[in-house]
Amino acid sequence: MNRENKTKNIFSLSFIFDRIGIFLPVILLLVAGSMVSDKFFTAGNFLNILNAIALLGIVATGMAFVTHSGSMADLSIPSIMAFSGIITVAALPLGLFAAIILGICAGLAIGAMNGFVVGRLNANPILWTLAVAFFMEGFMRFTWSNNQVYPDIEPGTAGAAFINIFRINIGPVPLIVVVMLAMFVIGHLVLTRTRFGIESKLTGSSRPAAKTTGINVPRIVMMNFLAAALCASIGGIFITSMTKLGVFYLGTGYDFKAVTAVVIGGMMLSGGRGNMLGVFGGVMVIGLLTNIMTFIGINTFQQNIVTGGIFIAVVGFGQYHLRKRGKDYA
Amino acid sequence: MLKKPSRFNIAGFLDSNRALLMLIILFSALSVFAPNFFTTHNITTILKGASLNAIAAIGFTVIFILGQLDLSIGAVVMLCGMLTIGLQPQIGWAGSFAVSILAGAVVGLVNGLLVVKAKINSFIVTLGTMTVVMGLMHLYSKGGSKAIDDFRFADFLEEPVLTFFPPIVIITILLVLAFTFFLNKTPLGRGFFIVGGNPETAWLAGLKRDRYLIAGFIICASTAAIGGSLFAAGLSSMTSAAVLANRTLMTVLSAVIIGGALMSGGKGSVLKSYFAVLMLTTLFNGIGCFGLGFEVQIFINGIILALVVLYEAYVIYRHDLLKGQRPDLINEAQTLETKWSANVNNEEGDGSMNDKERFSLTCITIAAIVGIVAIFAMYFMHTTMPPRIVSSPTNAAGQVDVYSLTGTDGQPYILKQTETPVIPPRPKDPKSLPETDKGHWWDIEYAGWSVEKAEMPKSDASGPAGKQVILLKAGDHPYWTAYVNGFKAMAKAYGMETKIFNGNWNIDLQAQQANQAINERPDMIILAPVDATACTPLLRRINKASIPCITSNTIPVDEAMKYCLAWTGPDDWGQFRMLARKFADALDKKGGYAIVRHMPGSSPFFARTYSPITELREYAPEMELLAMDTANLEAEGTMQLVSAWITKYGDELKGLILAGDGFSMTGALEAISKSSRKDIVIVAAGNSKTGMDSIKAGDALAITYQSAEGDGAIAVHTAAEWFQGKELTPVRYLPKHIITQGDVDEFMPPQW
Repeated sequence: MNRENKTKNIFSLSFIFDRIGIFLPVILLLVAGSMVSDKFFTAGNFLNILNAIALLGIVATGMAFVTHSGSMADLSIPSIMAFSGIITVAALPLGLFAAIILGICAGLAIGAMNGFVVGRLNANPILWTLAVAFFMEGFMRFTWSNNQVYPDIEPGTAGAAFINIFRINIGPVPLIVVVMLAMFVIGHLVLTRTRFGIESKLTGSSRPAAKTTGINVPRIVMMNFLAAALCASIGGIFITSMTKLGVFYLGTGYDFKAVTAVVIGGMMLSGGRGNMLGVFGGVMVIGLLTNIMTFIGINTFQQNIVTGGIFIAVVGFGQYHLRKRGKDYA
Repeated sequence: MLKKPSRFNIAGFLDSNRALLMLIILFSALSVFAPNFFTTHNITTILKGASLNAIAAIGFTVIFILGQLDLSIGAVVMLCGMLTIGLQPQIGWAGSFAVSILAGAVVGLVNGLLVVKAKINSFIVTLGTMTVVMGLMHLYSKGGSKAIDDFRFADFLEEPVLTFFPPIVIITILLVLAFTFFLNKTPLGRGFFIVGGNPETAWLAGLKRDRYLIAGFIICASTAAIGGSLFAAGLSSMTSAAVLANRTLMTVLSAVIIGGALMSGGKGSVLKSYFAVLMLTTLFNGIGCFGLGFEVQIFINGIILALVVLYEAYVIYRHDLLKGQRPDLINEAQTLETKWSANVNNEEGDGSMNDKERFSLTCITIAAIVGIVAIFAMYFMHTTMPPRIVSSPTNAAGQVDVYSLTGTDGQPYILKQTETPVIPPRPKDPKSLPETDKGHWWDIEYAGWSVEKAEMPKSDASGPAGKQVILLKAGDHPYWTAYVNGFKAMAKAYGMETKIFNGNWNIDLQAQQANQAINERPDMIILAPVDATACTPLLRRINKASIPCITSNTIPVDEAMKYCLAWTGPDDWGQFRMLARKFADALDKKGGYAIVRHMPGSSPFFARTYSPITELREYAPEMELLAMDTANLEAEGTMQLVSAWITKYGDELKGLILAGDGFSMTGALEAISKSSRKDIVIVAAGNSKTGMDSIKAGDALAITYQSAEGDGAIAVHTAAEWFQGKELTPVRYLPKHIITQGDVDEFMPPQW
């Protein structure tokens, strides 16, 4: 920790990265965007970007809890999203509020199961959540016979109100963007200011160490999976409200998308490192990249190649940087 | 140290051979109970069907032994399969195999270098390369499929030489045995276990971890490449639908785990992984024999995987207990079976009773929540889906009058065929014309009209009653639920028996199901291809078995049309020409437009893009195509795409053509309402509830009428006509119609 002794070059990439982390690529992308089109730096476009990443942001907040606490990733997130959405739509006759509560409970039930098995029984999180994703998909397909579940959207019904959740604006900003920002702020506070957050960090860094410190590791793991499930359920309700129907394949792909965002944002899969603001940066990078590439006119296939390359590059640079700073053994 | 009790050995034996045991038990059970399961043909089908996953599982096991993960194998399978087929015409089989396996090895090398040199977690590296490789594959294939017309090599691979074993299976088994030998019997191979299981020992033994890791990644990607190349060669074609990559990865991953490999490294067996792949393939096959759907397969797959993962956790837990750090627990460990759950709580050591109680309370609450949710789910499921009773009206002669049957939307399932469409002459060399010219697409648009059929089975004109028809449907989707409704209603009206296989959009699965269907020797097979090109060998096989076959829904390529009696389905190209004209009229034939495309790998990806482009070029030459791209039919993706287009093009963008009226419509409408550009004209392929609702609300101008129920019904109807001994037209379109606000009510309620 003799940082003073090191020669500091304030213009070096490493120095800047140390201070602002993931927001370095964000800034680079903002500069690139402004060069691509004069319409890039408009309020409208930024709202578009925020709106487009809001769902991913909400889900990624949850995934960040799981990754941060050392459980790598929760691959059951798409099924949680779909399940909470379907249950919410199916329960709409009971009223909007009850339906949303039930939908979230449905998601939390899966999260609790994951948390129990991974935390208490020490199962491998990736494999277990993959198995859960499999049988939940089977269950949802079977129960609803592969059909879509439509809410009744006559004006004045709970269904109409439900459809509006995605479409409400607070001032010029859509509700979902506000929710996403709020969740990042809350997530950040939880991870940095609460006992739970600190304990999660220690659990993620080293389970044995956490255990010897007297931390109830299974409970911490459980709570983190519950947090992920909560975020995924909220995301699921938003996506269902957006598409106006519930169906088993909603949310497909959000598992790997969320992991991508979380890892770009500087969280290590080994756990314990990174913070929520970084994850927000990671989500922003993905949103900005897609937006800029669409502006240039790069098609989806080429976008995949660029995104994959940038993903590896950013994560690689981040880890290289940490190693150089002596912060990581690997 | 604690001595192992003697029963432990038996348990250990059972555990270490669990994949084989599961396979034997499952196989015996299915042989007894499942209809048409225990036949030579079906066993060959299972062995053949397992080959892609089995070969990919070899390398995947090696990677697991090293304690790493490779998510990119699915993408590598597809890229290499595509390269094999794409390059074969130029450089022959040997060359194309070499190139694609080399390409696989390069991907593996990149993975390995990034893991070893850049020291990035393999999960992350391969997640990145997965995306990149998929992008490369799509770039190379332009989002379409590739095929070659020469079936000799495919026949060689697929024809059994010994009773059960076609060459493709023999190659698989040889590879499995070779790698088993290599890993278990050679010092070099044993090194993989040491490096993966105990890095310190490996270091002390002077093993170079980096080299082993790089070699492991190269082996993994290369076996995936071999699997993909052989798979593509066996089909003489390759699809570019991403689902093949996902399902391969997921099946291989579960098989390797079931086979006993540990994610932490140091344990695993190629042979056991092979047994596990065979077990899963047998399971899927058996479920198909019972006529159950994909939902049951994936559910059981999930349960098996979950049990195995739990069991592994239990083993580790037990192992930790026996370490001797906790002498007070050893006694308990010996009588563990009954007390496991109680011990789990003691693991914390200091955990007070309070904690324990709180914990059980949590568990009970969770169980209660799950129960309540399940009950609600069941309750609402029944309220949202009222059963529909189909009555069969009869005409004067006492026969069923199929023309009077109507679907849920009140429209008749089928119309009497009135006129045959006019087919323009084929241009000399369609591919030499530009993509914006109608002629370029002639072979796809008018596939089947002028093809010379292979030798077809003759109808004995004994009528449709009592005939058994097998439907190989493409996958699960609400459209297909409606399709099956129409299919069954029409079959019931004709008194035909039906059985349905679900291909789940995966050509690998559908190829197996085609073999399974042949094995059942039905009177007719109706194939709704997962892939318009890659279905050719499937049809050829069915034709060789002299089972009459009708293709439905996705129009196959000309080559495939040779082997089926007829094709029935929606005229995607024609419908979109009509839609494009309506679109141009609404815009006064002026202004810029953009197209949101279908999923790559599907036939509408081209039809619903180039039909309007070519039509508008002639009908409204002043209109300009500003942009086109796919958002994989996702609502969020479409919203993002359209939002960016609106910002970029501003007032230039006057209209949007959507390849789907479901999530694409939702996403596009969101983007439009956010930017207050209500003036943008939208047309889309229909007709789901979302699309119909937006037409009714005036948000969209027009959608095509594509009756899902009618799609299913017309296939059965055509089959019935064949059984009656009637002459079939090679292509039979569903009625074409464009729905606008004026007549949308006639088509309410929507079918899906």
